[in-house]
Amino acid sequence: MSRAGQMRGAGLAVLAAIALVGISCAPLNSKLPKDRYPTKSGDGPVAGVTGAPRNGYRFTNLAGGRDDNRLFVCLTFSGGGTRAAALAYGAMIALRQTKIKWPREETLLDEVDCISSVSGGSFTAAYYGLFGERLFQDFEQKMLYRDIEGGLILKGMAPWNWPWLWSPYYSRIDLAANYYDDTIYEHKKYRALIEHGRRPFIILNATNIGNESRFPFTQEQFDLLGSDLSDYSVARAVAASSVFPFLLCLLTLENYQHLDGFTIPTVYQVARDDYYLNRSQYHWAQSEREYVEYPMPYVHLLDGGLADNIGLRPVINAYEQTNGFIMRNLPEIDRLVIISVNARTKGEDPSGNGRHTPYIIPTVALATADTAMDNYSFDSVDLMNRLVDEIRQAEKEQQSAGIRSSVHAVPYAIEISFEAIANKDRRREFYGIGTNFGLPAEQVRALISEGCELLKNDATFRCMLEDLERDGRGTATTESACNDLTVDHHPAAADGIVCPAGGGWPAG
Amino acid sequence: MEYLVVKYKGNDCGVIIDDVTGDWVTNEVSWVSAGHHVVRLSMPAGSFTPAQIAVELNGTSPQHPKTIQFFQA
Repeated sequence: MSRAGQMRGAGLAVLAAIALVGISCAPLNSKLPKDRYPTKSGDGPVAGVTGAPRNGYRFTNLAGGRDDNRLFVCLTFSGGGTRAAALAYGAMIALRQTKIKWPREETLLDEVDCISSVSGGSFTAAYYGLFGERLFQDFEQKMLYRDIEGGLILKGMAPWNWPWLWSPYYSRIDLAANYYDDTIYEHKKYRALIEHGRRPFIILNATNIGNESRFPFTQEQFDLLGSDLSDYSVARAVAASSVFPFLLCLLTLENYQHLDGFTIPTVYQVARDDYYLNRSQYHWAQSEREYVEYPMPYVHLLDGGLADNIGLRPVINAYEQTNGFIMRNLPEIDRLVIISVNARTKGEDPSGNGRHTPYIIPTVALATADTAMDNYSFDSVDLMNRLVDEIRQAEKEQQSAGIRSSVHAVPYAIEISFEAIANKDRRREFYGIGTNFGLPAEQVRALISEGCELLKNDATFRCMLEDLERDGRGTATTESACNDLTVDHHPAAADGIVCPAGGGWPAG
Repeated sequence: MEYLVVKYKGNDCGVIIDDVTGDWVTNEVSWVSAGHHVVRLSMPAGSFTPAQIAVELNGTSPQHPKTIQFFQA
């Protein structure tokens, strides 16, 4: 090589090194100021000194009181790429068309208090949280009909992005987060959600691979990292929630513990004595305390589906745990409705056709992740159903003993999934839709329609609306219309839902 | 805010009461799962002694939990 060539080579190397140093760090989470440390009760400090973000993104900071609590509605959106986002969006359309009188005339969507989501479902949840009604105006074009994977590949191939991707501190997930910010979430941060100050409380869930537990993007969770969620990008939280294993890299957060003067809230401390009484509560508290007591400087997050692919656990915890936002409002809740939109797959397994051992990549790797996600999701639904049965039984015993009831609401647990599609060929077609982020338009259209139809025709959804209408007419009794699910109910609120056309997919 | 920590033995319906007056000392918990619970008091902690705190589970006679702790936050 000539001397001039060597000089050029050396110059390029220096420029690359400068570029790497200059862009070496993707934005991480910021440190929690001392005046915003949580109190022993686990709540944020009293609001009002430095404005809305002071208290952080917590359920207790969102508007809503006794009237809003009377009908308490939580939604959970599963993972599953664009198919999950579209199915959840279809269910949202149905809720928006469900007209109720409680006591004012409104829609059931107006009454939604929380949305917990995973992966693909997080796209829909986050958008609704940030932009509200705009979801129904531009989300389809901005996200559902967009080839997100194609867009990401193009971004990765652009030469001006290569220096970023060479950096050990910047990865494909950062590129994805920036892409979501540019194309969907308009660079909004959690500060925007706090300033809205309205429900629903959006819980985007990822999985911490360090302690193998669920990691919700809420201020309560960030408290334990000594971090302030309000400055964090919502798009990055969505990206963390949807980092499917083996396809994208992990998203990293900084843990600022040990913080001087930080005291872990009492609820985490007392639960460590519950090993023999309540092991799930014990393990939950144990893994949460580790962020503070045995802090690792960084937390690496993967797809939320690995810890719970249906997003139901945060809602169960909010019901069961002593500081849970449902538990704390229970006495004011007359009707509690939990709707899970489950876009789980059930594809045909081609590996059984051949004698040879399936390849590690991708067959075994993907099957490992899928199996964990599906099993845990099934467990979550089962746990919810058992909880409902226990509460219902306890309520019955109280009533028969003539004792005042301390439980005001037995949850209506509604799960919609493709399993409810009666025609088996049609059901198989829906189960076979890919979980990638980029689907043919006709499949997206069909998923939106199906999400709406599945909810509209769900037996528990209909009997729940029947109960609400009885409440409105003043004819409610202690017997719920849902006590006998073999009866067909025709509440006007459900019959009035007009779902968008599915567009004829699948043919036949 | 004043808080109370109590410990339950099993999943059940119940309320935490002042065993002398029968009043609920908190309006936050009505479904209890096993383990320790932190609850916000709906009246000043000075209104009763720990010995008065009882848990009325599913209509049974009030039980006096061993773990009783008040704190302010």
